Amino acid sequence: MTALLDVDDLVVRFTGRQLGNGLTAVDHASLTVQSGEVLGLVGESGCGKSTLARAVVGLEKPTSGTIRYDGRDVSRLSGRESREFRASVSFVFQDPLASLSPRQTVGQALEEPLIVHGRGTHSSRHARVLELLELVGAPASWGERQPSSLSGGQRQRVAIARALALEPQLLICDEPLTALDVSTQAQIANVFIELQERLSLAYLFIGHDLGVVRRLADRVAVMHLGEIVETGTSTEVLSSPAHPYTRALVDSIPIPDPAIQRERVRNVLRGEVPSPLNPPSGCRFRTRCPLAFERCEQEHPATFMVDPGHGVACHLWDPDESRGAVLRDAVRPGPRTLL
Amino acid sequence: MTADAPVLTVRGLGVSFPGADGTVRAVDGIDFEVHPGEVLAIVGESGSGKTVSMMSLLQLLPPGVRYDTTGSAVFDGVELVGADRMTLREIRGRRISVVFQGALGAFNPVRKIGPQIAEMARFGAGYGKQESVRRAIELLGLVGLSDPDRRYRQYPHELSGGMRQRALIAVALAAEPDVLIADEPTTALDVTVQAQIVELLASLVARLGMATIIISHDLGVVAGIADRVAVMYAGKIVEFGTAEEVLLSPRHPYTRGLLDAIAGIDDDGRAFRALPGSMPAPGERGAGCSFAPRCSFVRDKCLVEVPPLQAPPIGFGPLGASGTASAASAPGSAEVACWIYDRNEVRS
Amino acid sequence: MNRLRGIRPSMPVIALILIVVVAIGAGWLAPYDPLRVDPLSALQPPSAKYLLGTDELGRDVLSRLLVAARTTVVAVGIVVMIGALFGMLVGVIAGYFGGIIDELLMRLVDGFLWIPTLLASLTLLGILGPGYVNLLLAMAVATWAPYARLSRGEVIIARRQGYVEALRVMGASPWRIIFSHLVPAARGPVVVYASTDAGALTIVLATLSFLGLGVQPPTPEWGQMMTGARPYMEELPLLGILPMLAITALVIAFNLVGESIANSHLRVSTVPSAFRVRLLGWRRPKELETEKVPV
Repeated sequence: MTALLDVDDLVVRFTGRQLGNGLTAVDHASLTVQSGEVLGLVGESGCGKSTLARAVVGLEKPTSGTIRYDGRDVSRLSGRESREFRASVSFVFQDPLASLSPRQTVGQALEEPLIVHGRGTHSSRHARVLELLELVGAPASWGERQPSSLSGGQRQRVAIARALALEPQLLICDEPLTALDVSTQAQIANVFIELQERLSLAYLFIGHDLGVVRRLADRVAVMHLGEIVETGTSTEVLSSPAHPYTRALVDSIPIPDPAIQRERVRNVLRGEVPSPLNPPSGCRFRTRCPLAFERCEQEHPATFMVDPGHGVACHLWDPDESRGAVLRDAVRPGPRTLL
Repeated sequence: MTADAPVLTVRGLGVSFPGADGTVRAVDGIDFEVHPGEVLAIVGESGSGKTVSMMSLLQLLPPGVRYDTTGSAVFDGVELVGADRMTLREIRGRRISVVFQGALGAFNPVRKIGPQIAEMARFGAGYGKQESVRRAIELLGLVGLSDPDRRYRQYPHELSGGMRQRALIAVALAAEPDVLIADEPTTALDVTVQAQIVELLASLVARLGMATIIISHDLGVVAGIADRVAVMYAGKIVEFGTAEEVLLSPRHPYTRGLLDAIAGIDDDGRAFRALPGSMPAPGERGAGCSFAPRCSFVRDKCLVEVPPLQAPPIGFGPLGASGTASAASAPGSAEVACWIYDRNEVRS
Repeated sequence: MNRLRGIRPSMPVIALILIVVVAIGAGWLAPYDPLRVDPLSALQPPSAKYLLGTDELGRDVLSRLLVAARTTVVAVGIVVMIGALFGMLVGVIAGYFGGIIDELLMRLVDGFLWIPTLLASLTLLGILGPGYVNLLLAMAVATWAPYARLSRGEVIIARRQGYVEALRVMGASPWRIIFSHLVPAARGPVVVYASTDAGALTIVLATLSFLGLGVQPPTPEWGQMMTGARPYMEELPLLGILPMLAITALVIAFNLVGESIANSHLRVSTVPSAFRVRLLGWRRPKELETEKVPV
């Protein structure tokens, strides 16, 4: 079965006067999203997760690697295929206010994709706009309003509705909850969940809130300094992480319980995030990794399978690594059979 | 908590702005106090008035906005509300210092980090020229920056977000303040860095013993550091108590809702228990409780009368699932502004 | 689309509309033919017959002032229109495509911005020779560059603001993005600049005409009327003062309109002063700190 979205060995490099030797934002990253599947992409800011998503829709230019949508290389689409691709893949941005034109009403913004793709007549488009508003739980009266008169959560609903206008199969969501207030985040997360179930959409969902990603995603890919270091089902990866970095991410999630939180404060990740302009040799996480040994400095880790479908790029999981067996338990306690 | 006299006592603090249609009351009468060595967290969503209330104390609201502060805020015997420029200059940045939100904007981008800290040490804490440089380097080390000598000579843009936040805390500490106000000290930082900053603040409070007020929207971050928590909603404090009381056994339906909306890593199920609606803007608050339109336990009285913030009647414990107070095991220090905890109803 | 959104009928706007209406209708409003020469009643002070007196050839000053208003308003209007439209097109294209296109177009614009309009027009007219069409051409050529700069800046701001990226992702053509979204985005500051620019151009036009390079006699024009009045300033100072007052009034009206539009959208308060640009060349507008309003 062909994956709906197949990103293969993608590299995105930025060059510029201030960037010295250039910045490799995405470094040989590969991932797939199946039809109707939610893939969560997590990592710290600056790890390249947004760049990867933007490259998929052509907002950044890949340096090398291929992006296939429905089996076709998106850089070699014919005019018609390109239009079909544009209609079939939508993007939800982090900042809903900026992603809506200040000179359009909500109704006009929702109509825009239909006009761009020459869909329907004036009245059928109007009907579709009302349908879209209803889909995201918004009253029809919003159609006449300006985005600036709506709250953050309301705007994000509108941006989601616009992304759905052309009945896409894949929604790429670039931290759509980050700019929202706590209580609104949960509302919008529910909108995403409901729509995914109702329209059997596939999501490439980028987030930094692991709790949200855990609930939303079927599978998770963890990115660190341009590389994907761990992939697997969201339960596997986030409940029993195999990579020390994922472990640290999971352990840093703030939990509103004073007892737990005060205890955890002692196990925080030490050291600064290395600069992507000058990443460390070998494993890029080694400068912050509590379990790093010499090999991590010399050799870039290969990806090992911990469980079926659960891959991790860490020397600890190399079956030939004698030190791994001892240290593995510090990351992922419990008996494991290695594949 | 300590038995010392409070270093800052705030009573009935209100802040209003001239709005499009009449005066907008951003902060609507709040009371609290902080003791030396104590961490008070003020929690709320954007627009709840948490930042405005703190900044108005030091008259640090953006210039050009005409605002009106009422009530009283006594710091070490000095009334801050309505204080003149000279009095405030003595206190602001020296005895009460602020870690501003957005670490990049708070530094002068064309000056090195070190001298900016040394300056605060000189003018805030009265160090000499040579001493202040030494003190600045010491502070950079204290906030956990590696190689403080080199950091002293770096420009703000050369530091990462987390390092800048640390340097900013060093600036705030340079004057050896009695009260430290940190406005969203972890917002916009990654979770890994957030945890580091929370740890740093907690250890600094323990070592230096100043009273600290943390303004945050993140209950998880608050849980790691606060002794007492005040939850603000629409310009008012709706719940006040120790961190354990507020976060583990909340009384106000809003606090309950906020906690429910947070997705833990081990939670099962998919949908979130989201609070419906959004917080009313200051101009759009109706009569009665501001939370009533979003509250699933709303009663008739909530729509007419504003509930006062008061200790719940004896025997009234945390909010139960059915919207009534559960039985209290032991009397606590919590206060709540909700009609579910109405004294009169106890009698009837 | 409500094209005039943001332009409120404030006092200056009403005053300007009044001036323009009077200028356009000057042919009907003028009590006499402004070109009718009557040597017998030359240089008369104001009287019941000639409300503002007559000039050295006995032509009615009031009629000439009114018709000159039409000359100015029409010429300035055409020049601003051509300059603004062409400049916006260049600026929007440069801002949207960026890279080498932006680099080339903006170096060209910089070249034009270097030279103050008055000097450029003088030189061009010196080469082309005086004449109405040449005059409009010379002024338009020297006018468009600030509009390009201004709209490019607006487009770059707009392009960074997600919604243009959103349009690209949904597959909108560059053409649609430019004409349906970016040109309207650049319109606000351009309109503000254009109205103050009209004031500056009024002065440029009057100066050129005063120097004999602008509007040619016998067509009445204020600057040219001032030239004509020079030998008679002692005898009948009114002859020179009246066109000067007319110029001042029009310039003030244009400026106040610009200001009132700028005030009604706060965001465009960084529009540079057209006078500075016209007389001294472009200077980068000083960045105003955006005021944060709490709550």
